[in-house]
Amino acid sequence: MAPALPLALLLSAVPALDVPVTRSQLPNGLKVLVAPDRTVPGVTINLLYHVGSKDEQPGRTGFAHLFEHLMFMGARYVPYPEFDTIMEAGGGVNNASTSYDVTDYYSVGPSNLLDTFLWMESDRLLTLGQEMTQEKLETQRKVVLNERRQSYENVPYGKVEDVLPPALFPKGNPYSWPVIGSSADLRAATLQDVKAFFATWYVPSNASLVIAGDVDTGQALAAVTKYFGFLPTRPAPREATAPPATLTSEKRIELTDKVELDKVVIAWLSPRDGTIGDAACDLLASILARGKASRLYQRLVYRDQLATEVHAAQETRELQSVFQIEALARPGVGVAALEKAIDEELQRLRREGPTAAEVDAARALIYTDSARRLESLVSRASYLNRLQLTYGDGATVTRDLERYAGLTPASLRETANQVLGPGRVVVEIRPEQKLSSAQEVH
Amino acid sequence: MRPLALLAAGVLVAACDFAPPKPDLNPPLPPSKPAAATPGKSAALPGEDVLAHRPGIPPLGAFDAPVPSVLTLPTGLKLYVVHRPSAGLEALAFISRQGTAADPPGKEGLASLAASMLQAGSAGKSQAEIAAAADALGANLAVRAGPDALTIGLSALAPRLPEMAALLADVALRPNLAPDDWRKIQAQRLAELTANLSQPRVAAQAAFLAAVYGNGPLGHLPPGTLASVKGLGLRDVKAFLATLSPGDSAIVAVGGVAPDAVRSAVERAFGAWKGSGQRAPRRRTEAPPARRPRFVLVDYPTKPQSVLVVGQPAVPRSSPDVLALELANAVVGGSFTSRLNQNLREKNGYSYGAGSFFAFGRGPGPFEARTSVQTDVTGKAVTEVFGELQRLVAEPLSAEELEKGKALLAFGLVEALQSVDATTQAVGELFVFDLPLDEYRTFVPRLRELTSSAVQDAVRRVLDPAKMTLAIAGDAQAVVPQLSAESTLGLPAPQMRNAEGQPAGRTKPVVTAGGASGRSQTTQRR
Repeated sequence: MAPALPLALLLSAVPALDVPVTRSQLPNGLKVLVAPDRTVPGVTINLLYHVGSKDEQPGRTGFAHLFEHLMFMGARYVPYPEFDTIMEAGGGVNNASTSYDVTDYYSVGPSNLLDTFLWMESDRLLTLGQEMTQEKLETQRKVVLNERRQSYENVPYGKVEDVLPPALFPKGNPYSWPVIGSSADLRAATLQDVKAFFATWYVPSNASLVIAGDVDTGQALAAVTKYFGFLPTRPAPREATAPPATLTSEKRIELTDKVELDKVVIAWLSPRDGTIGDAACDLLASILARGKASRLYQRLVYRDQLATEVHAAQETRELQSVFQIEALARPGVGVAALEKAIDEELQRLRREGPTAAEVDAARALIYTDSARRLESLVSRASYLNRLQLTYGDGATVTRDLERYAGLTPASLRETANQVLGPGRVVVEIRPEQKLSSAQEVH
Repeated sequence: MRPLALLAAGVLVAACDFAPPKPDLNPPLPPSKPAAATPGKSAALPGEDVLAHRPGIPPLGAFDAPVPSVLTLPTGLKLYVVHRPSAGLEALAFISRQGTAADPPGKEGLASLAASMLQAGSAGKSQAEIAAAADALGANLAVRAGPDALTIGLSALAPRLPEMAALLADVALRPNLAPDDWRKIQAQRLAELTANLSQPRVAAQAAFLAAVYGNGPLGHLPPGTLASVKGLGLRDVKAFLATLSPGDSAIVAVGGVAPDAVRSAVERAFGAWKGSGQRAPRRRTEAPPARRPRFVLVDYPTKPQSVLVVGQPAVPRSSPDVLALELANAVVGGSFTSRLNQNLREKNGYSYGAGSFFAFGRGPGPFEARTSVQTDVTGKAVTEVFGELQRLVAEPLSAEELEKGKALLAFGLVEALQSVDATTQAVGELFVFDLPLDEYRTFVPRLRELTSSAVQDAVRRVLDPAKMTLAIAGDAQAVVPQLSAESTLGLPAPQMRNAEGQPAGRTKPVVTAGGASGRSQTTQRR
């Protein structure tokens, strides 16, 4: 087995981890990060708006994501569908994503498209609200309802996504509904909602722009000033806050679905983004279920053959995170047997803690994950923007990774006891009807 | 998210530098909705003078895609190396040209199970010990069986290369193949296949392949079926693995390690491997059946969407038409502004997204157009999909579409060659498909030469919507009357298939089933 990998060795092996970044801020509040890399003949921009589903109003769940779709419906100088046609004609592609905390938009293409990308983003940040119409809203409402069908309703066990947030967080907490929202709320969204949301959240002081790739830093900053400098200063919106939610006892939810096999999902509230506790939970998730050496895989999938697959993850969020374990049963195995085996492994972890070798391996995996996230322009820019949100102007990859460097078997044991306790939500999903279609097929 | 899987599903699409600058991009662009036209709004917005001028797109230099160096060891094993001095990572892969297309009839899933057995313990160490050794290196060890090759790959920090090579050799060459592990792997595969029964997406693909290729080499999904996997034994896996030989295998290394150091690490780990001397079975080369069902359906009552696949067998990777077909695909279904996506998502609102791909291989892999649509518009959506495919055959691409396709494929190569893992896969395809070493470097010059009529000629040689097969996984009761009503399609009544794509016969159609879904905390545009 390889010796533990100190962070210093990692940094000497992967100079790319120390990404050179130039930071700047326009008078209107837009944060700008430029990370030049002359080895790839491409450029990406990642524009992050600090607004997510946590900022939605009651009765309008799913709105932040619906709005993200509307950002592609055309503005004054780049009317629909030219954002996409201009981009793809030049060889560029784009996408966007919405989470609980943020909405980010990226474009990537040959480096001669940098000015074009900035021009199109500036146009929509200035004029999208004025150019919004009921027709545009209806077009994307249909698309998003279809997205909801494709990604949740037509996916086995997809309904877990609807029940987990309100079980984990109290009513009114910004994480108590799912990012995709409810169909009823998506249908209720109005043109006025769109304009008000845009005016509140899509302002330079609530945004952070990363440019990565084959650019000259000075030229890139000049282009940003040209295309974003004239945007008026607008008040930064109020940041979402919430007192930390707590779960003192177990909540159990039983569902049925059109599925063959039982499944159990167990979720706990866990430490927020940027903390040592968040890093500790990453390592615990790895030790529990990453790869074929992990404890739950060995126990549930391989040794006892109770599960078809098992996963664990620390889902990092800004205000409070969620630690989740899920296991899909084998045919003929019920949720009770899965839960019993998971609980035994958790007890052992809380009692004895992980081994030093397990901690070292989990840490080595995290370090190479980071190196991989820095390889492509798109993921590098996204990572840098997320670090900026978490740590502010002192953000570096090293600072992010240093959180892991001091973790020990004893500290992870302590985190396991603090986080993976009796206060949790357990969702059990069983087939709607016991079919023996496995036999019926043949 | 944009259906990237559709783009990536075939061989590497893409190329290496950029379309020539377009002459018409520089003049100021009049706003197509001038401020004056908006009542009650002042014409003077801040920055209007800036925004009213569309930026120019300056010319770009060429991108020199890597050309790997190749070395053949005395045993016949090939070593492909791409050195990237600035990369902190190194990726290493063992590739052998035996894949799922070689699974004998009735033994579907064999290559894929052999791949799983390679990860079930090696060199006397248990599955957990091997996996822990990879974890300790920070390496992402994975074994994959595709139609034409078995690939074992991993990447980690570059200084770990010697340990990575030793671990890779243990996994590739010295699997334990213990009976107890075999029973567990087989049982796990049966459970995964059971879970897949409730995935309409998987069922639609299984039904499509079985309808189009019958019992031929490409007629099944790599994991096999419940019946075929039950019938396989450890003896089959051993026989399969014994056919791997150095003369039909390669090592690919990409990253920060200098070629000499790669060579010595690989020679130390693999130099002594001679194989069993057993001859590989003759490759299966049966042509797809000439008569194929036009319409197959897997019934999932009450589902809110229908999963659609429309397509036919295309051509092997060796065909001279491949580049032209990739270009046509970028326009019809391989991009966000593609005809299929614009029609089904943006214009008609039937779907979250629609796309298409060619899966070129050693055999004539399929062309497929795919989408998921609301159940109540399934008939109309199928008509639109066929309409777009008919138009692709009937009319040449416009000049704008041709240039867009070239630009997208050119930058696609830059993106595909960014990470060491992706580059390893791209270089591996040079070996698997016997492509020239400078395949990627010559891509853009070859792309530039393509004309609209050359693309249309290739499309017409290969695609014929009148011979395409439609596979649907969805609510039969709701969908069948809709399709009968779409008279222009001229489709017959559907052949019913079960969730594994096999003729359902008189058995009651499978109702549904389950499978673990990746959860996502983010919700994306595409």
